[in-house]
Amino acid sequence: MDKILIDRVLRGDAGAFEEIIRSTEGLVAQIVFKMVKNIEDRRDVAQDIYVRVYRGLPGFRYQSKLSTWIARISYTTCLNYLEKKRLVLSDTFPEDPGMDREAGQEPETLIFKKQLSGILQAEMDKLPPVYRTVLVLFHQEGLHYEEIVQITGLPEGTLKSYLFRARKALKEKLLLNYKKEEL
Amino acid sequence: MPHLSDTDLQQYVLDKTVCPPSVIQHMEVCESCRTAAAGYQWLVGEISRQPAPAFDFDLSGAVLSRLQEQVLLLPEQGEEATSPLSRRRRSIWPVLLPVGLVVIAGCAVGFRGYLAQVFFGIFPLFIYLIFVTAIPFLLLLGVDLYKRYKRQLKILDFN
Repeated sequence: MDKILIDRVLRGDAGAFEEIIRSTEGLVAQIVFKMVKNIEDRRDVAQDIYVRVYRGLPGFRYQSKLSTWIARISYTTCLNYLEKKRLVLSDTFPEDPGMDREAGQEPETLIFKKQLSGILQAEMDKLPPVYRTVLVLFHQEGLHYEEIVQITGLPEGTLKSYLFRARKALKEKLLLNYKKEEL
Repeated sequence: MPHLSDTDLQQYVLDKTVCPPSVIQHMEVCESCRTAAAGYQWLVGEISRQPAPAFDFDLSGAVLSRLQEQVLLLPEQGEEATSPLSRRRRSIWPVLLPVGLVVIAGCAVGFRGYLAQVFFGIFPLFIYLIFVTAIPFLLLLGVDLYKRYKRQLKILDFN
């Protein structure tokens, strides 16, 4: 399927490239929205990504799925953007309380009584871009570790560590928010 | 009884089939850990249910018009294609490369005596020049790579 589409693009079929954009823009949006905060910049970055994809298509070697390759280009384009803007440097990982769950701590049950989706979204937005990105790629897009490794270039161990830390930080932040509300 | 670590809890929630039997047994008897695992279960489910972002503009239209602006023109009807492949087809490399190799090989055979004389005559000087130019160049390259590496690390280091 990928090959047919790519061959059509390489023969000059603009419709085929439009098809590629439509089928992958959801995944690209996930990465761009998680990595780039500025709305105007997102538009430019998204267009840059597909211009790079178009230029790179003749060199695509089918060593991964087309969508994975495009996601990889998206990720590196966003990283370049962050590097250029130096925006990420001001971000910090949410403070880790530095302890594992303590014995007897049972407020988790109460989480289910609250609608915490909004808080979760806000807390996710506070995570550093790379953490946000791997989190949504794994849990929302349902990508496997191998695919995320191909996209981000992170070693698998590092990726798993990022995911673990992000989930732990989110859980702790949600508990913290809950406690504040109760007080 | 010590409770399970967050690592064990997350593993249990993500895929309990790879958990050691001790973890499974603990979960069967420990209400506190089951509650904590349920918290992670909720978190994972909630992340997957978060609304997917979408661009609020016609991305494909914008990209195609930008490609047209950038002389990467996609062919209109009756117009010659200038897509990556057509540009590749028109590339002169497939012709130029063999011709270049033949010319170089011809010169090497035709002037082999002279070339050998020149090569061995300047050999010590040649080696010296290599060292003089290559070492600073490699050093600069190394410094540049190191700086780039540190910059990338700085980006990825969020702590």
